[in-house]
Amino acid sequence: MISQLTVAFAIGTLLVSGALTFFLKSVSSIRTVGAVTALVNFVVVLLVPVASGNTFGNQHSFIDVDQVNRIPMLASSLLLFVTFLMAPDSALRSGFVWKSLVSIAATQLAYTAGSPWLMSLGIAIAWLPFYKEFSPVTRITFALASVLLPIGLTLGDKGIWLVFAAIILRKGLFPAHGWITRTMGAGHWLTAMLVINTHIGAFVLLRTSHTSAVWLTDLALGTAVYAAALGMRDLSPRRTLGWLSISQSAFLLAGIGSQTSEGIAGSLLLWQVVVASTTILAGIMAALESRMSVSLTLKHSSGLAARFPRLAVGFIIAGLALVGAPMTLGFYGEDLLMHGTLAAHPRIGILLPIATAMNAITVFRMFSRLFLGPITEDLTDVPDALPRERLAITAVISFLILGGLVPGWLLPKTAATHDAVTTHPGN
Amino acid sequence: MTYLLPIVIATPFVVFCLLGTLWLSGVALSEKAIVAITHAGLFVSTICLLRLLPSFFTGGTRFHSADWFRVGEYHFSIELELSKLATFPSLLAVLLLGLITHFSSRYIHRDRGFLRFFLMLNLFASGILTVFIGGALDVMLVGWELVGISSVFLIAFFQEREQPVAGALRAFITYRTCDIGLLVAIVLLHRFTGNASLDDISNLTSQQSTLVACLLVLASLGKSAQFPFSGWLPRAMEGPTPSSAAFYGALSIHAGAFLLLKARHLLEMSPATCWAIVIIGAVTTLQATLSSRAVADAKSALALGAQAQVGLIFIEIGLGWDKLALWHLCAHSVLRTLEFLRAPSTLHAYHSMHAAAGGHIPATGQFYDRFIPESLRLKLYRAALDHGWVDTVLVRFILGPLVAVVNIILMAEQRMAPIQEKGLQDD
Repeated sequence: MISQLTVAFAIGTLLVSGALTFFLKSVSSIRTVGAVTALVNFVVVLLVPVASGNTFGNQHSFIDVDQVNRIPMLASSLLLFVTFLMAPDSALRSGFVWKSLVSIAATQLAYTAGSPWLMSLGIAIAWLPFYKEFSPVTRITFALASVLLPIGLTLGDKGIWLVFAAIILRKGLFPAHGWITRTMGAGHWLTAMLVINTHIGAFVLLRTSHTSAVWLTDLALGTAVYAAALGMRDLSPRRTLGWLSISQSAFLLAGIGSQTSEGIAGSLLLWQVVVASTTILAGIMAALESRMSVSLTLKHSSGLAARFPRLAVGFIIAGLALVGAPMTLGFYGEDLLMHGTLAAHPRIGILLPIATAMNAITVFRMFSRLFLGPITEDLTDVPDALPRERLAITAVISFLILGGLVPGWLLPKTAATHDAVTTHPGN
Repeated sequence: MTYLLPIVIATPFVVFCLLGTLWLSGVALSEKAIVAITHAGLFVSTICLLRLLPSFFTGGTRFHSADWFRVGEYHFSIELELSKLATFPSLLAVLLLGLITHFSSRYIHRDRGFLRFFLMLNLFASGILTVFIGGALDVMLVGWELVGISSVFLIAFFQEREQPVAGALRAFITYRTCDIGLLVAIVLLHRFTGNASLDDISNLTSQQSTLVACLLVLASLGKSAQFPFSGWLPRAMEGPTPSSAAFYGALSIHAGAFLLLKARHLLEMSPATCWAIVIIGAVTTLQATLSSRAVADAKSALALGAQAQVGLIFIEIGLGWDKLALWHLCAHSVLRTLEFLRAPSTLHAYHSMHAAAGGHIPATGQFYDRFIPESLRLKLYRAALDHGWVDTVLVRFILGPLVAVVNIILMAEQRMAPIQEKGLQDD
């Protein structure tokens, strides 16, 4: 009971702070309230006692932190914290902070929900604050997923295909990936990353893990290669980051769908890496764009490292960690995923290292086009990373590198998590 | 004494982290301090290696850590081994890197990228020592990737120019493509034998050993610039001369050959792979020899010379002449380092030699050319200028069609998700 109250407190804090931002005028105080709230949320989730096993479907569990949702919960707090520190001032004026706080509160409600209905409710609410910023395709995709999920969950085994359809829609697997590139292209970078990085589709699969979900791994791996191939050729940094997110996020689903302990552990490890890295990449690109008079492009080299060396270092470390560079947390995530997926899918599992290699090329291509080469714009008197940006970049880099040195600390108690995921009635 | 092995590889990495952290914290170190810290790190590694040298006569030294992490049946532990094979290349590596550090302290003096150069040199030192001392393939992979990353960043050292950046991207693409071989080989070895050791392979069937051996050959082709993955090497000469000496004269270019020497037991089980190595080595030697006669700059000629010598080493490995290959590797490293380091003063040396001889010395090296018919000479010259048309064929017949298909899909995707340019954003 105490743990449930603590979870309610963590979620409630986000909502109260969201309401509080309406009364604040200055951008810096709105940012401070948002970042501190995210930090408090993180600490509370870290300290709350973890219930054993999978509490989903347990009548006594209304909202709880268990073996399955602990990492997604912590990752969502981290996502919020980094987003608020990296967001340009202009983004914070348009109600971004309260929308983000409400959205993540609903997402955390979905993560911790003990019943299918509460989870579906959380998922349905989570995207509504950003309704106006989404394209019609994105709205339809999310609305459809919000309808299909509760119906599928209510029907049990008979409705599992509706649940899978909702997962494909929310995760942006091929051919339902269009909402991610649209959101990246049209909305604000950070809004897009906030919605993408909650990985709702992967979480629903964690909760409803089913033996017949193995085919989702095939689809996820196909999507990963498809997005990786397009990412290598796209000339828009926004959309390229979208392709990168689609591809790397598809790995999470591939690992969970493999139903192996290595695959599930790799997915949860990579979950943290994807959230931390893609958020900081988007944040750095938003920071660059806010300092420049023209849009960023990959058509030619921009040479920005000469003016923004710290942002360049943050970009390349986060990018390389995302694609599994050694001495970073991503290395172990990719390593475990590869073992899990190749064990479950000896033939199609080969797509994973191929997609990883292509994504690595995309990251280096982005870095070389944005930061290296001759400088193309007069950027005298424009500052490199601001103190708040430095704090976010340092926090993420430290997390990724320290995690790479001692991955055992960050690996979930995998045997328990694997059991918790695979002991769902569907198996 | 075994505890000295992790110190050998950890010290340069600690120096890398120290220099990087100080820079990120805003501490500006003097050039002398940077060089002194680098020398100190290499000195510690050298002393540790010298201390372990007596074990060369008693079968080598092994270090086996407790599990770094464990998931299900999969576990990752750090296995290091200073075998008879690894002893001399490791010693050579620290000594040559010490020499190159000393040379670079003047060569890179007052360059804006002074610290960046030494950061990458330390990362490379850690990586190449991990490749040499790694006891299992998954540990070697860590070093293998670090060597690749540091190599690419040093090719792009003069980042304000277009060509070095393009050369770096080219090298990165080749490395990552070939590294797929090593990644998949590791996963397959784990599945077949339960670990990634190259010594414990007696249970492999002929088919399995051929598959793993072929994957390792693929990995070695990229790092050692062998046919058909040799196009990146002349472009890599855009980097500073000391790094060219360390990477493409002395150490990195031999990493592929070293990997194959380490995989001797595996190659013995797969004669077809050995013959493939001989053929690849022979083709590379011919192609590089031909190309080196047509290039106009000294460094490219040296790089192609190195490529040809490594081709010969591959032939020796394929024929099973391991001791000859190892001595060839070590001798070539030393000679080529000297040649690279003297490359910037080639013209000065040329004039000094002619002055000392008291007049013009006639050109040599044209003797065998006279045996080739005039008409064939012209064709060979054109082939040499285009590096044997290897890249042209690869681009036109393999990469070209793939890129065309991706471009068509990308155009369709871009129409569906247009980008909102700067100035039209919501914020």
